[in-house]
Amino acid sequence: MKPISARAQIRRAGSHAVLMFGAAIIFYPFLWMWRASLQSTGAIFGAMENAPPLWVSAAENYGRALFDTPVLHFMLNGVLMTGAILAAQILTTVTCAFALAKYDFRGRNVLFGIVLLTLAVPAQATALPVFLGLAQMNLLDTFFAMIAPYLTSGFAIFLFHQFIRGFPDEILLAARLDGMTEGEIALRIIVPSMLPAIAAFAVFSVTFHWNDLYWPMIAIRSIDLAPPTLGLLFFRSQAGGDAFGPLMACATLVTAPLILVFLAAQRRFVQGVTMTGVK
Amino acid sequence: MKPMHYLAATTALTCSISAPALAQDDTVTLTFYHSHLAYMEPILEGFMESHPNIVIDQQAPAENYNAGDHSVIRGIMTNSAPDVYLPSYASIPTIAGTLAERDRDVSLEPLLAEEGEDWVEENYAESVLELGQIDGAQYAMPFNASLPLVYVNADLVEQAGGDIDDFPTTWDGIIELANDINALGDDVSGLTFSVGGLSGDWYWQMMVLSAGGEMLNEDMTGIGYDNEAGMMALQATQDMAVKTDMEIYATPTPGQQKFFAGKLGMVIESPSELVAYEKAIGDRFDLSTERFPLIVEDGGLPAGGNALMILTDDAEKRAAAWEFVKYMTSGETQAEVSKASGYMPTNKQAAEALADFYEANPNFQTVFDSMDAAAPWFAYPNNTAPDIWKGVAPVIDQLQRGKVTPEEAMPKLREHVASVLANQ
Repeated sequence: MKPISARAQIRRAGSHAVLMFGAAIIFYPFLWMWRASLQSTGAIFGAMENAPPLWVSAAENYGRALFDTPVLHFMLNGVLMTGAILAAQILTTVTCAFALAKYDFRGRNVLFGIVLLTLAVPAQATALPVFLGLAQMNLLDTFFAMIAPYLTSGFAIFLFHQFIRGFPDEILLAARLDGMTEGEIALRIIVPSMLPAIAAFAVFSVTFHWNDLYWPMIAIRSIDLAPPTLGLLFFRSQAGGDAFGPLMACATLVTAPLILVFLAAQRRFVQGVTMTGVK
Repeated sequence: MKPMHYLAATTALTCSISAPALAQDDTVTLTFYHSHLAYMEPILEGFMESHPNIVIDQQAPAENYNAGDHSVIRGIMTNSAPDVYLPSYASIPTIAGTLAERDRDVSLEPLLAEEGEDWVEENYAESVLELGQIDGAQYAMPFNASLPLVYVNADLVEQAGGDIDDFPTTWDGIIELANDINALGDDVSGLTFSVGGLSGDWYWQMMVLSAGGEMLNEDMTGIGYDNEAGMMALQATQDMAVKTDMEIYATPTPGQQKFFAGKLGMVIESPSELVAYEKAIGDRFDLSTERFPLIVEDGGLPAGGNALMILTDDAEKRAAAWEFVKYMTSGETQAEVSKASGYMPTNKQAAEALADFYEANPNFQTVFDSMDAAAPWFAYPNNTAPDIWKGVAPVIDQLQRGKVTPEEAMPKLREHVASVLANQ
């Protein structure tokens, strides 16, 4: 390895310091959340004289979060909902992006332009028409209503389009010469090569829909279909008296799967974001 | 098996299946929607135990009162509204109005008439019932009631040389006390009350009503405090901030958390949060609740809280829902709610059941001492409250920051409110 000059070392230390400062700012609220989830509500804002021992308050907070609310049920709903959304999105967007990137047909640019245009329309703008449509079809308050607006994604089509465009045409031609059908090409050549991009998109998609409370609160009423973040509302108060201990315990539980998923997919995620030209 | 036997067997089987199904038909399921209140669970369980033929199906809780109202209005438009809803008092006319536009009337008058006047009188005070009335007709049964209180860190008051048993009853007195607490240093401040920093105008109603003003004029075309009372309200709102170097926030949360941390002397809060505050404070300092100061002696205070509305048209469901509403507003349930939150009970009989409890917990008693000043929470016509507040809040914010004088603020409020009401 080449010896690093003193100047380069200082520069590297400096950039690390800036990055670590940013990381600390992002990380601190999580630290506060974990700490508060272990303490009794009275001790969160200052040391109490007769604070209960840590394991008692932690057991109470997590006990209330787990057993006073259906949060585990909500998390199962979250897994089903984000899973169904992700599967539908990958199915619709990979094929669509493949066609837009590698086929030459009339209207391609217009179609792609429309896809890009959808990125500029906020979800709130389409919520009301979608809501009324679902109401007409008597589909409100169903699992389908929760996932309906998200079955495809303009962002994913764009992301995957950029990735597939860089894929060498020679390989596709060779595959066609060998007698592969277009479906096989998409499934057996394109998809495996773009796993990093899919992983990157999956993190975005799962995080967004796991945390989303806006659309579910419009589309559903039954508590049986509620998403994970709804569990937090059980410890929120209309005015100032939130039950902080159980609230933070609940938040810890609800965020844990996302953190684990991200840690597992971290390498792929970074690869995907840097490889697709969406930086 | 011969065909005849087969038929008999099938019939028997069908009967045995449909028998429990029939039994289930006797039970009525009511969907119940409320912005989640922490103490609701045991009460609902108690109801279902004593009424086995009525099932309460709680719907996913709302994020806040506003989100709850919107969800119910959407529900009314798409015929998917809950059977029973617990809105805040200010939302009752909006919900009833949305129903009226669809020629639906969910007045509770027939149900009350069936119970008889004696029963009504035994349970509810006229002043409480008024909170759920529109033009004199009962549309909702008050479930809990609150009046603003001053939550005080008694330790800081003592340290600043004040006497918690002789708490000031005027804004001037509170400003003086706040400055004494400010002088303690160490990041401690005396008072936080960002009147414009709430999603609705509850705080601003406190100021206007306590100065003897009205929110709107009689024809509902403009502000009702374009007078001396309004000027006093604006002046007091500014003084409490400017004279105490108060930090102005855009939400109540920073003040509340500063209070929990023991760094704030006084904060304005609903009595409904009393139990939650006690838990969040633990044994770190003494909490005391005090009366909200009235600007003029005969000023009023807006009564907050929630009331139960029955939104279903189905006769069978309405009867079951009425049983539910009666249970929820009964003396027993109301006493339970009060102990679990700090809210005032809405049933006369609860007050007697709570006498010993209040004796032992004077912080819960304060709101009753303020009852002589209770006034209905003003409900704006045609759901104009959000638009009115959108323009009023920034002016109040500027006023508290000392950027505009009360004289400059008044015409801005007058014009904004009049234009919202004219364009409704």
